[in-house]
Amino acid sequence: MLKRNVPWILMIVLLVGSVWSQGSTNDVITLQFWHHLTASDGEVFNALLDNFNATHTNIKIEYRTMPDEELPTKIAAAVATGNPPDIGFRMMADITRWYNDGAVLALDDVMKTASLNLKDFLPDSLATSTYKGKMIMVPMDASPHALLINVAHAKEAGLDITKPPTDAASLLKWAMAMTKTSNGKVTRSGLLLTGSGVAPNVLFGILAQEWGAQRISEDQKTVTFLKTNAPKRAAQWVLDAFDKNKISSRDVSDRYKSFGQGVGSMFFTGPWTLNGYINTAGLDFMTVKNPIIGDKFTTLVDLAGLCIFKQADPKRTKAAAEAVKWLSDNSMFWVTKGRGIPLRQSVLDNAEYKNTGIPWKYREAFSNSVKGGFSDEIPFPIGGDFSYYASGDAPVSKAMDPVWAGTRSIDDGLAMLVQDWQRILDRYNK
Amino acid sequence: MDAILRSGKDGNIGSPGRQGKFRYKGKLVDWAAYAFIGPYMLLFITMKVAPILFGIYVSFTDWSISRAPRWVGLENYLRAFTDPWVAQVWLNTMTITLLVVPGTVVVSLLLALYVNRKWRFSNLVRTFVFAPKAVAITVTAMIWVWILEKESGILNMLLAGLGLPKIAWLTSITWVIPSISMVTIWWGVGYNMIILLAGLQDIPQALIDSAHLDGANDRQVFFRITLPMLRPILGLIITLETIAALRIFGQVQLMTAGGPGGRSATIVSYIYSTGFQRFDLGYAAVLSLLLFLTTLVFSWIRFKFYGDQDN
Repeated sequence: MLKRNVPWILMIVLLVGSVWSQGSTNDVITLQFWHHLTASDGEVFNALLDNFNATHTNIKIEYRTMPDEELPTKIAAAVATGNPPDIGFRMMADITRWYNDGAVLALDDVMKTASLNLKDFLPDSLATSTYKGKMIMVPMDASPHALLINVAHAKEAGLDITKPPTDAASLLKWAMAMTKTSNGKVTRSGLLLTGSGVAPNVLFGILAQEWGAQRISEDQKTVTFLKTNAPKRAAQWVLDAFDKNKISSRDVSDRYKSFGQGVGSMFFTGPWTLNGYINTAGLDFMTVKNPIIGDKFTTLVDLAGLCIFKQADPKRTKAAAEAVKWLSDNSMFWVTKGRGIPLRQSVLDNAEYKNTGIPWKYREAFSNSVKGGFSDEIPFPIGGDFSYYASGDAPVSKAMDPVWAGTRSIDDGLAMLVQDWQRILDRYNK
Repeated sequence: MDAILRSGKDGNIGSPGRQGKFRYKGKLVDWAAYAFIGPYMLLFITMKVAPILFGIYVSFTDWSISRAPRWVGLENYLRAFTDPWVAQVWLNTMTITLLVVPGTVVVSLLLALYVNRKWRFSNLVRTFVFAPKAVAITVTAMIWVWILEKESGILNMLLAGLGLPKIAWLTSITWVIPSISMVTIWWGVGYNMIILLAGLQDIPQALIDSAHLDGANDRQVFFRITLPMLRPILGLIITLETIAALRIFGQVQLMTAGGPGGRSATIVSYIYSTGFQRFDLGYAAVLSLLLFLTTLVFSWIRFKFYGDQDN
């Protein structure tokens, strides 16, 4: 009799089990978290998300990593089909576009309800996370540019590494001392730039901002870049590095590899390089705050943070807000072991901050560079097109790369850039 | 179609079992034929025709995927004709095409002639020349980035060994397009060599022998017999390579990202950045349509000049 009833018993057990497990699942909200962080950054960030899961029983985060170039497309497609993730980690350009398209929430009220302490954030970071008066991103980290110096090259050139360059004159002096040439051509750049792309464009942007340039007006309707001669001075300084002062070679293609291999002595870059260079055998380097070449200190800063996508179920939004708050409150793990500089005063004031993660002697310059830095991405639907961190067919690169190559005049390059930017503003301001 | 639509009076053409099961406008229709082509036609319409029609619609809108399209009429078209960057990328694309197409045809032909003669190492040459085509363009591009690296690339080390100056293959405005063209030719030569080899082997040996008997030398045989007989295949290769060159993307994206200074940006890389980085899909659709029309023109030219030869 038992044999005959076994199938029925099994069916009942399975039925009860599935109903019971559904009931259990209904108590736990599973959030979808999409990000683009890979390699060591990805490992650290995923560990932070795992910590969240380990400490929460009612909310679970399922995270997915996608290549940087693919993430915006995948999110756009997900939004279009009505299945966006709950939380995204991205920079302001993308988040602004998503907000403009109605895909992400304004976070002022949501994060207030979640009791996120907004007063703990560095004021500039919140200002940069705001679009049309609404906070749309909870900033997690800043990546400012600072100067890396090859210590071996400096010592070889007889330079005092305890007195690194602090202004234009000392920067030029150091660069010239460390530059090597052969038959009039630079074979080792004292100041590492590339012939086109990100490196010269970033330096151009930093210098233009140091001399007081402003890319667009406050109302985001007019390009104001050429209101002063700051951009022209900045472009000339970059060109002189190649042609007049001969401290940079146009023939470098991979700037990261070149610094690591000792083909360049000084290099403006961000904190994402530290993990790699610390582990590069034979590379002895130091980091310093950018020397002031213009009128005042500034540096290019990339901010990245968390956004919450609109969901039909308000419980999911509430859970997402709780998760975002936790991740922000525990961001010390991310900014010490991972990349970037904290934007929470409590983390900066934490006694353990300097002693945790990447050695402080490398992080200090970056940490000191956030205050006074300018956000590279403008909060605008395609704010990325106003970025100085540009290559390929981005407006700054299109306009200025031929200038660095010596095939277009500075005036023509700047005119083309301003025209391109104004066209973008006009299109979005219709 | 005659076999499908038949007069009901005559009855059968072919096997007795193939009579139409229903009538359409008084004629018997062979439903089996439609049943066989139906699935393919469904896929063709869904995957090819519908997207093209949708693309035409999108070209008249402002659309970023994550919100509804907004009708803007001819605005995107006007923008394409006034965008200075469109002119630049078309110039780059045409320059690459003018280098790649003749380069590929000439090198493929020379290699096919060599292999056809069964000279020493011809089998080895055939294998090694075809091998790159078995590798994806992404891998090819990444390998060539290392080879062409200015300071430590193999090519420059060879040049330095010969006492020649190193060349900034991928970072020089002068050399970037020739470099990308060189890689594209290297990648595509093997496949075209095989096609031309088949064409060469189709030429009747008796024709060549009789030409020799009549006193023609090798050069005369090549220009008077071989080339004319290869004309249809050459026409096909030129068309296919032209279309491929117009659509060049992978090697540009991976080797130079369109730089330096946009000098290697192509129309497809611009479509990609417009559509998938700026999410300006309406404008990207217009650019895609322009490319489609251009390839259509080249295909028409091919049929115009070589179509009769196929028959």
